[in-house]
Parts: sequence; structure tokens; C-alpha cells
Amino acid sequence: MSFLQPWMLLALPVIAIPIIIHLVNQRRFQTVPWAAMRFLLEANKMSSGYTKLRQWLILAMRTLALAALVLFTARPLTSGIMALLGGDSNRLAIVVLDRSPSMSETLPGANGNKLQMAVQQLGDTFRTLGIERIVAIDPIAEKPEEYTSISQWLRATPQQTWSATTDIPGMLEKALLYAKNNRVGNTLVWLCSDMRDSDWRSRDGRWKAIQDGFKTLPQDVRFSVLDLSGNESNNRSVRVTSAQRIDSPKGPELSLNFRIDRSSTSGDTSSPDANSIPVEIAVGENRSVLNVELNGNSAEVNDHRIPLELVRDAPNASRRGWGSVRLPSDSNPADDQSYFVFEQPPTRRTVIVSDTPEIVAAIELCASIAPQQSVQCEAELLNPSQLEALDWNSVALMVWHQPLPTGKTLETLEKFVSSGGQLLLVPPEAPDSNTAFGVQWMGWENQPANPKDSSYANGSTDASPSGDSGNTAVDGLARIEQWQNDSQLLANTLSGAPLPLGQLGIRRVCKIAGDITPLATLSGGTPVLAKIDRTDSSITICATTPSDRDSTFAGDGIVLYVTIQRLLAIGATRVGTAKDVVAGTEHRIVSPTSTMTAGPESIPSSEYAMHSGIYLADDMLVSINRSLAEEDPRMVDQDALQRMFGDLSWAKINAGKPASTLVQEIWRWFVVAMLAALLLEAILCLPRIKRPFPTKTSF
Amino acid sequence: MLQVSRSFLDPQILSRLSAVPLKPRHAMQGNVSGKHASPHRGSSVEFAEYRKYVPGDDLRRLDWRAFGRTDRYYVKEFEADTNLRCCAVLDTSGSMGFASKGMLTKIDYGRRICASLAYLAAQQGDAVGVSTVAEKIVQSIPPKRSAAHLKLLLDTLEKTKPQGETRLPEILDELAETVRQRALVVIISDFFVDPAQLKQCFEHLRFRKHDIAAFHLLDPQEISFAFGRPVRFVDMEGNTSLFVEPTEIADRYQQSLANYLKQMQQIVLETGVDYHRVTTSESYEHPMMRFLVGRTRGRGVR
Repeated sequence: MSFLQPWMLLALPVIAIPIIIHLVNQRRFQTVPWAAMRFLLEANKMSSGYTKLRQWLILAMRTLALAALVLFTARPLTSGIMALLGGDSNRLAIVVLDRSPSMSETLPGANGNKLQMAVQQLGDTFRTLGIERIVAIDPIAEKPEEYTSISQWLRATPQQTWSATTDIPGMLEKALLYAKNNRVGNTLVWLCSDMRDSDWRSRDGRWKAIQDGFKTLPQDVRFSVLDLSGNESNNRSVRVTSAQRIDSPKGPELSLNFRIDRSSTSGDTSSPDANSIPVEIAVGENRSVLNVELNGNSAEVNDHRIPLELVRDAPNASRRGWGSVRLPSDSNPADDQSYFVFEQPPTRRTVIVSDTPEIVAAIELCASIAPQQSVQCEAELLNPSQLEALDWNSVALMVWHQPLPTGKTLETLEKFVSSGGQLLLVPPEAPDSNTAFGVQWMGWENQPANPKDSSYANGSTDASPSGDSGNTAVDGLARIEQWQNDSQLLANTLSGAPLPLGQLGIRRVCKIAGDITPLATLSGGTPVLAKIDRTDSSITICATTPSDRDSTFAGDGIVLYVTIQRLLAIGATRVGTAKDVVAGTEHRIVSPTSTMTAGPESIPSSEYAMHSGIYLADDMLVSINRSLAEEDPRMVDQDALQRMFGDLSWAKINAGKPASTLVQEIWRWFVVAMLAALLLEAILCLPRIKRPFPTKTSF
Repeated sequence: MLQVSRSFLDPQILSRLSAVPLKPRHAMQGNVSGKHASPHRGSSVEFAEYRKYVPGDDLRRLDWRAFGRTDRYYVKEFEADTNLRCCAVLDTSGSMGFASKGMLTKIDYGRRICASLAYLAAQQGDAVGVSTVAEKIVQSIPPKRSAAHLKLLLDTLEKTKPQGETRLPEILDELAETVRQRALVVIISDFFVDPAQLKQCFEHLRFRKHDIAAFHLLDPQEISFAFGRPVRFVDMEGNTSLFVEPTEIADRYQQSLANYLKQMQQIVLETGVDYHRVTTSESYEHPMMRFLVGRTRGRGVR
């Protein structure tokens, strides 16, 4: 409960007046000499509990009446669940708006979508509470925007959702930073969201830091969570899973895979009409309609071919182009369209830096053999002195078979890796003590064969699906005992079979020191293949070489080939001129100077990276779509909120119903309470009806 | 008659009360001939009965006419008239000193009743005595019929002060034994004692053939118990004090008082006491008049 005029609560001590009067009355007694003492003593013995209770009840009623009077004059407010926090008009309101695509949903009977509803209700609430100081947290702006009036805030607040998933912990960190730097007074943080876990990231480690940060603030900070989850209506979403340009005998074609999902809580979904969805597929400015039958609540369209030769008005379309898949509009328009770009697959170029080509010859071979006809691969062997003339933008994978780089070379490689390129570190014959990327070669070490024999000794190729080889020694070689088959690099094949890492023999490894995540290890935990712990996970380190002297990677070439090709596939994404990115993640590629080719209208250029669409950034054609996390239906429940906010003062307010208001004045209830207390007090004070006392008696 | 001038005696009230004679409800046993019926035969003009002559009777009282008619000896007897011995018992315990605002103290009120009674009795030639009692008999003046004795009584009443505890039951028992039989015993008190003990005392007095009258004095405030704010009540007959919120306890106080008065009514009915409950807010003339008039309704039974 909060109050519009909280200063009136200063008058609350007046509720002590009845108690003080009672105490004073007790103190100012009179002393009376009394003759009929025996009756008084008898009466005192007869004193009943009700009489004492009655006195206390009268006192309580008087106190209650005064308390109700004071509270009534303070104009109490409440939300639907009596849990609204704050209300002091001097409070600063920090608004954290969830603008994720799911907030575009329009609830049945509502005038606008959830975001518009939240903004409108917040505006009404601020007006009711008399709050004028508002700060809006913007995830892409450098600093929060400050507003000095509600109308100013309403004008500036966009009514359009993003395609990016909201990072609520990140926004709260900004709010915390603002509160710290600006020495604001008592603050009320409003979080308006539809409570999706993808936006709240309830398991994120930042929540603990947020809790600690707000707790250390000297001012009173409270959190109000405006829950806009509501009932989901009949909504369909589409997502392009892949769009590839294929050179077929008929000419260049676009192979399109997309998926349609339906989240239906109402309506008839069993009728054929409801299950047949006309999907509009656009390639450039050319559109076609494809009827897709839903199987249950989803449908998947694979390898839908569109001949690119027929695409009009797009002379470049046969090599590079863009398009979209769109569903008929429903309750949430944000997920009704998915964009894609395609191009002729770029050459997957591998650069191998080595002084001993014979050792890395197997890698060169694996990198130069394309896995598909439509893909071109090439590998180039260089020595370090040739790196300066290298066109780094065309390189997908760099194999570094040299002592760890230092100085300028290290900087260049860092830049390459951070731009999405893949780097594979292979130990040189004579490793030095240099440290790069947080790791260091510690020297070669021969690996003794495991004395235990295993099935591999008999030539069995049966590998453990869990990534455990069951291990061991054959021909005096150590075997890889465990590997991460859930990692992207060593994942099982498309048929589900594990890679035959268990068949590889390792003769010697070069020990690695530093922060790494092992992907494949020998018995005893010695890593053979590992990822260096970085946010981009772009550096892979191998503890041995494919040389026969060191391992059987070259002889049993499957693992080496698959690993190299997977690294190339990842690295190739930075090479092409058409790129699919997730909204809100690539602010460097899609900048305000980019050109929007297709997408929502009337959005500021500063928000291009946050909205789905097709953008032309320099020579790069970029499609932006909502993230896969948006498909996650998990919601944040009360327990999760409690875990996230911990000891902070917070409350959740359900605002799902469009007509509901967040705050209501409830002074009438206090008037009623006051009148009831006064009435009860009057009844308790009523004197008892006395029978006439016989004063004259004679016989 | 004796000229008196006392603050507690109002000549006008006395003159009005004098119009009604003070009579006992039973035959009294006085010292001298008087106006009141005696249980004995005497020499008045009122024939009582014939009685057979027994040797030793005065021959002068033989009824010769009856002898002539019946040839037997009969003695003719007449009723005897005697005077009244009135013994007033005034309670002078501490509780009799209570008076609410503007009212007489109970002892002042009782003093007026007692003095008026003494005056009326003396005026019609009856013997009157006074006993002032508290923890014990403070002062006891035996009944006499001289005018000088009345002065002594009034002096004694004038000097009486309320003090000490009430031990009325023991004292009434003592008086029942010490006062000669067949007297009019008038008790003036607030009777704040155990009714069961009082009953025994009244029965004792009745056993001694006394005519018992009781004036039960109550102050209006003792009945209404009208107090506004908290009060510390101090016992007038001891050091006990009690702090109470009058509004909380008033109803139970009055319930206790009502129970007590009900018991008193029962006791006086059972013991035949001429009982008068008097509130000190009314003039003492009224209860006195009720007392006197009530006694004129029947002639004393011999």
C-alpha cells in the first residue's frame, strides 16, 4: 500500500491520544473515604473478563478510528493485490521496458499490444502517483534518458517492439550504474515484461551482483514488476532455418528450409482451414504463396527450391540475394516474418603457417577437399614472413604451426579471431616459453601405452556414444579416452554416430598450460584437443600434430577431416558478403549508416541492429532475425523472481487484463473503517439499562 | 417541658412529631404506672378477669357480688398500665461519618433521629436511654424518665464522633442481655455487617421480648455509586484502600448492594423488626413520622 500524501502519515502519532488520555485519566484519580467498602470488595472479586475486554475494545476502537482517519487523509493507494510499492511523488521512477518480440502480442479485447498497454498503464500510474521524474533505461544507448514530465516520457517512449531478446539483467546493471553515479533519492524501478525467461535470464550470474549492488545503495530502491504475461492467444511463428544457393543442373536455385510453430490456447485447430497456412515467400521483390499444412502445432518445410534464374529485376540475384517468409498476420506480428540472405558460397580459405610442411601436410589436404560440390575449398601454406601480405578478410581458418606468436603478429591474429576467424594452434617441434591467448606450450612428452588392452586391440571400431572410448593401447600407442561429443567440433555425425576418436593413436603430446576447456583427453586427463577459454571460442588448440611421429591423425584421417571442415564452416561465416545475424548482437556490422533494404518502417537508424530486416552494411548483405531464445516458452515464476531479487524490496503486479489499472485509491475503505470503529465504540460505551433501586423500605 | 436548643433538634419538626404518640408494639414492662400496656394485672379501671381466691389474697379485692351469686370466692382483676423503657442504640463507627456532597453524615442523621426519639419519649413520661456503639459500647446511658436525664442524653449525643470499626452484632448481643426485658430497642445504624450475624442478634433481642426497631441509614451516593473518573476508595473503618474505575465496577457494586438489601429485608421479616430504610437525602421527619404512625395502628398486645 502506498500513499498519495504520505506526509500526512506524520500525523500518525495522534493515534496515541486515546491511550495517553487513558493513562492520564488513570493518574488523576481522586481519593474518597468510603463506608460501603464491603460491597466494593465483593464487586472487585466479581470483576469479569468481559468487562476488562470491553474497556480494551473501546480503547482499541478509538485508536483504530483515529488511525483510519489519518490513513484516509493520506490518500492510500493499492494495486489489485495490495502490493504496489512506493507512491511517494518525490520518488524517481526508473523504467525498464521489455521490448522483446513477444511483447508485440495483442491480448484478446485489448486496444494495443503488451508494450503499448504497459506504457499506457505506467503513464496512468505515474499520473496517479504524481511522479514526474522518470528515467528510461535503453539497452543500446550509452546512458539512460531522463525525463521531467510524464508527457515528455510518453512522447519519447517508442511503441514498437524490437526483434532482439531483452537483456533485463543488463538493463538493471545500467539502472544500478545510473543510481550510483547520479545520487538519486528514493527510487522505484518499474520492470514491464511478459515474464519470459529468455528476457529475464533467471540463471544469469549477474543477478547476484545486481542484488549486492542495489543493497549497497544508501537510498531506498524498490522494484515493481508489471506482469504482462496474460493468456496467450492463437499465435503462429515462422523461422527460416537455412537458405542456400545451390547450383543445380537446372541452374542456380534457392534451397529454403523453414519452420512454422503454433501456440494455440483457443480457437478451433482441428479444422482443415485452420491447419492450412498460406505462406508468402519473397525473394527480392518477387513473391509467391505456398500453402503449408500444419502437422499438429508445427510444420517444417525442407529444401523448398526456388529457381533463381526466374527472379526478375535482380541481375545479381543469381549470385547473392535476400528474401523473407511471411505468415498471415495474427495476434503477434513480430514473429510472422523471417528474413534470409543467400549468396554463392564463398571459397573456404585455409592458411597454414609452418616451417615444416611435411608435418602439417595432412591438414593442408583436409582443408583443400570440399565436402560438397557447391563449396570451394583452398589451402595455402605460408611462412611467418609472408603474413604481412595476406588478405585476412578472405581467410576462414588459420592453422598456426609455429611457436606462439608475439608482438604485432599476435595483435593481427587477435583481430582475426575477434572478427570471427578460426585459429588452430598446432605445437611446433621446438616450443618456446612464449605465452599467447593465455596459453603456453610446456614441451613434448611421450605418451606410454595404456597396459590395459581393449576392444580396439582386436580391431573393433565400436566407440562409446557418450564419447568414452573404453580405451587403450595398441601398437604401443595411447588412446583418446574421453571427448566432448556435445561440442560443436566433435559432435556426432548427422546419422548420430560418434566420431571414431577412440581409434586414434597418440604417441606424444605437447603439454599445455593455461585456461583451456578440453574437448578430447587421454587417460589421466591429458588434453589432446581443447578450446581456449574466451568469449568468442574461436581458438582451438591441438596438443599433437598429424605427423605419424606424433599421432595417427593423418592415418585415421576421418577425425582430422571432420574437425578441419567444421572449423572452416564456422570461419566461413566471416568470409561471405551475406550474413544471417541475431537481432541485437551485431551492432558493429549493422550500424546507423547501414541501409535498410527490407524491414519495419519508421524505425530510427540507431535501432537498425535491434529490428529484423535486411540491411546493406558496406558491401555486406545482412538479415536480422529474432533469436532462437524467443521460441523458448519458459516463464519466470514467483520462485524465480524471489531468487533473482533476493532480499531486495520487490512486488509483482498482474496487469494482464487490459482494463485493469495498477493503482486505485482506497480511502473509502478507511472512511468505512473509521465509521465502523466509532459505531462499535459507541455501542460498547452504551450504559446498561438500570432497574430502579429501592431506596425506601419500611415494615 | 424542658427547654432545649440543639443544632440537631428542630422544634418545628418536634412539634409535628409530638402529635403522634410513641407506642410500643407489645406490652412493655416499665417502672411506674404509665400510658402503655403492661403484661401484669394492676389497678386501672379496665376489667381484666375473675380469678379464684387463693389464701393470701387481699380480702378487699374479693368480689362479694360474685360470691353472692355463686357462693364461691372470686377475686376481680384489672389491667395494669406502665411506662415505656426506650433504649436507643446509635452506631458511631467510622462508616457513619460518610456523607456525599451536600448531605448530612449518617451519624448526624442518626443523631437527629435519636434525639427526636428521646425527646418524644421523655415528653410522654417514658424512660429513655442511649447507647453509642462502635467496636464496643462507647457510652451507655440507661433509660430514665427525668427531664435532667434528657439533657444528659442530648449532651452525650452532641459529643458523639464517628470512629472505630463496627462490631454491631456482638454489641447487640451484649445489650440484649443487659437491657431489662420488654423494652423498646431502637437501632440506628448503616448495618454494614454480615446479615446472617444480624439475624442472630435480632432473634436474641426478640427472645428477650424487646420491641425492636431499626433505622437503616444509607447515603444516596452509596446507592447510586455515581463517580466519573478513577477513584481510590479508602475504607473509613480501616486502612484498606482500593483503586477502581467506577464505570467498570458500578454495575457489580450495585448488584452486591442489592443482594445485601434483599437479605436484610428477608431477615427483618423473619425476626419481626420494625425496619426503616432511610436515605440521608430525605428529611429525618419523614422516617420518624412513618415510624410513629406505623405504631399507632395496633394497641399493644399484653
